[in-house]
Amino acid sequence: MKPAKEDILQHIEENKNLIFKVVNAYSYYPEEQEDLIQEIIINLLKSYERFDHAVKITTWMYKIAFNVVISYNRKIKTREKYFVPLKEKLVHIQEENKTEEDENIKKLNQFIQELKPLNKALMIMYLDAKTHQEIAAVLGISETNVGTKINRIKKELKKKFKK
Amino acid sequence: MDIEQLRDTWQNQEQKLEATRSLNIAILKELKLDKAKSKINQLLFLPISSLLFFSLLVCFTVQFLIRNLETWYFAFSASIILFFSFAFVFSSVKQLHGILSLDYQQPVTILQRQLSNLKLSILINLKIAAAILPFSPFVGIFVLKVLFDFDATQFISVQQIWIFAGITIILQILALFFSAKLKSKNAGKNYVYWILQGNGSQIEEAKSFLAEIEDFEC
Repeated sequence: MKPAKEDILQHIEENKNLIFKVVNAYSYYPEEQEDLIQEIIINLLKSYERFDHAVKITTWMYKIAFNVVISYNRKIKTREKYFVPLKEKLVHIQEENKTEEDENIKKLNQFIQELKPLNKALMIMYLDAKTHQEIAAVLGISETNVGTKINRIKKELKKKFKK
Repeated sequence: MDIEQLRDTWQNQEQKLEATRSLNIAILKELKLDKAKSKINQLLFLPISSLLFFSLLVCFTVQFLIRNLETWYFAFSASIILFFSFAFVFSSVKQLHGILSLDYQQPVTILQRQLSNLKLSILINLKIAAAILPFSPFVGIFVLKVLFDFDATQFISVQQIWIFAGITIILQILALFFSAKLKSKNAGKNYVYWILQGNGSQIEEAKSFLAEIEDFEC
């Protein structure tokens, strides 16, 4: 049996795009994104020993990632106080690629940026093709509520992309 | 473009993200988590120090009360201190419980609500502090006796007692006014912001986020 840290590192490596997408949706600046990715990963590592293996790993990772980015957004002013400094860069992001986004991705990202934090989380999971059950578990709302909200978002998306 | 195409576009973004971001797994393997500063540890300082201070005050005041039971104004002053110390102890324990139950593994709405409630707990401490105001002369009697073994009432004339009573009534009215104004719904107003000395914006944010969570859950 592998040690717990090896396990979680493998999960992080396999699902790193989940973290990247969440961070990308909540933060525009590369430096801020690096800090957020780092904080999410540290929280994942710290929480892994309490991880309930009956739960899907992505559900658990989404919960931690959204909680970190939403909490961060709520207290940007005090972020320096709580930032965990590392000697070397854990994450490297190339800045220039922002300009290479195609028109639809730009429009979609703009639409996501305009959403409120909780709706943004719902939208990201919907676009990632997650089930209503998984979305409900991550956000702590009922599956019916998830369905209703997704329908509303779909209508808004259609409007946006008709323009 | 239909929704399914949009989802495909979104999912294709992964390749771009992967191309522009790389994780340094070697650092992760060597990372000592116990050295990473914990957010929770930082939040614990204030309620723990309050809890310690007011618990010690409770112990000391009980002893003072027992020693001075025959003198009504000392006994009354000690009772006031005891009552408010218990209120602060209770408030600190509640805050500590709130902080220790924070867990990023919880569903988003639950954790964010807990964070908002923690930010709002500063209002409870201020309400307790506002409620002490009308009793401040008795607090003064207590402090003078404890620190300097000085009985302030020996030097108070009838006229001073009337002034004392008048001030107490004014302070009582002020305390009721501030207590009423410290309701969460007024948290965003300028004068409450001034009273909270910079904590107002946090409280305003906490209130608006709580409203956002409630709206999201409907």
